Amino acid sequence: MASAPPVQEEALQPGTNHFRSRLAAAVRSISWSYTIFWSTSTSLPGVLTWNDGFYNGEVKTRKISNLEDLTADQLVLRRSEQLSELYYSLLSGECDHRARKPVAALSPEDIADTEWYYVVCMTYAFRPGQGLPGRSYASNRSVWLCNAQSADSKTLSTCALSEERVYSDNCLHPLHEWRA
Amino acid sequence: MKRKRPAALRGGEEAAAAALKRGPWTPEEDEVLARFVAREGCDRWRTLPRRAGLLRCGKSCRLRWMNYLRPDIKRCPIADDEEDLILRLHRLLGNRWSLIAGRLPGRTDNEIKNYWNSHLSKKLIAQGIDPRTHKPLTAAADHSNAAAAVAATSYKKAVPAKPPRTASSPAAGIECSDDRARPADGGGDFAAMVSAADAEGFEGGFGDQFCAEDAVHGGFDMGSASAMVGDDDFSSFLDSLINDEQLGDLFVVEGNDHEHGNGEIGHGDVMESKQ
Repeated sequence: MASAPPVQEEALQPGTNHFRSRLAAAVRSISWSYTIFWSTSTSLPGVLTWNDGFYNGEVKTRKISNLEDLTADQLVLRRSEQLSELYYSLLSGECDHRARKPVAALSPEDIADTEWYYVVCMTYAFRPGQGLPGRSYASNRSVWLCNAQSADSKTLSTCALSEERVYSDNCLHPLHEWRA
Repeated sequence: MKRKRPAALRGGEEAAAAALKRGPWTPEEDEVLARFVAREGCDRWRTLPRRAGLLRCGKSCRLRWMNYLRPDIKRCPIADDEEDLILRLHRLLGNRWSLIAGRLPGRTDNEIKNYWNSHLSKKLIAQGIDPRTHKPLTAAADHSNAAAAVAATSYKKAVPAKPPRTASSPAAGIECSDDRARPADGGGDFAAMVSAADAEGFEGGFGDQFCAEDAVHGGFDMGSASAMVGDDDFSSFLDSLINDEQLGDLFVVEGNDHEHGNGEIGHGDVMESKQ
């Protein structure tokens, strides 16, 4: 039985466990493939960059120690963290120091196309009005892109990633309170 | 007298092995290979030549199929969005052409490598970016520019020219040479790419490569009726997406807080290329 949301609710601060749990619950609840939280970058004021995200799509190769006994929800969280760790290791060029890699770390061969899409999203940045996140930020409105698989490729910018597009809708929601 | 040698090494087949064909494929060979793969699949390249009746080694058959014959290969020049993706993937993967091509449907690793060496690396240098590290070039820009120009004219080189610095870059280890044989139609592919390169101008600075293009042709844009303000609206928005309250509770229990300070540093590295 669903209860009405409380009138006075705790503020959602990015980076906190509360915020992350709500993002993850949202993507899990409606079976979206991923969710990404874009926020203004500290190094580039006014430019939106990847701040946090959760991946809930197809998994190609699992790398988790046998000693761990994880629930389905914990697997989603762990996979999201592993994809983020892979991105930063590739960015820093650590991938060639194989001896120092943790045994559970992912390598580029371990991820599916949809996971690649999620990782490549981390390379993006949007000026106000640019791309869907930039438009949502500039207009301070939610932007629903329905039938994304039919959209012009420039709208999504990474359509070439995979011919089997796994997302059907994209939603960008502005966060006015965190505007610089 | 009992023969010790395997049957596969009998005289007749030895002669056949010695006569394996090399060099350009004939239209008849192409047809035999294409028909056979269409009928039998291509999961065992080592034995496919014998099964198909081709006097070639398995590697030659695989290269011919993967780089030229398979029906889903794109013949058109590389599009802007594909180029953007190649740049991003090369930033992460270096010269791992198979991995990059695997993310671009219809493109081959050979094509991606040629496009990078003949077009993109020079484009980056013209913008003051080191094509190996995707970071700004040092004071040795002139020298490495000349070196890259020389390298670009030598299509057999697997990697772009390296700047003449003794200090090793962390990304250097990622590079790996692709020593696969060049297909017979390599020249044709390169001609197409040169044509595409001539048609394209350099649009904007390198910074644009790491920013999404403006949505000049939007999809179905359904904005909400009124502007939203404050985090309470975002909280309500998330609530509207969560159908089962129990699901939210499961995540709240999780104690692991992902460290994001490192994330900012990482993003700084990427954005550094813009400045």
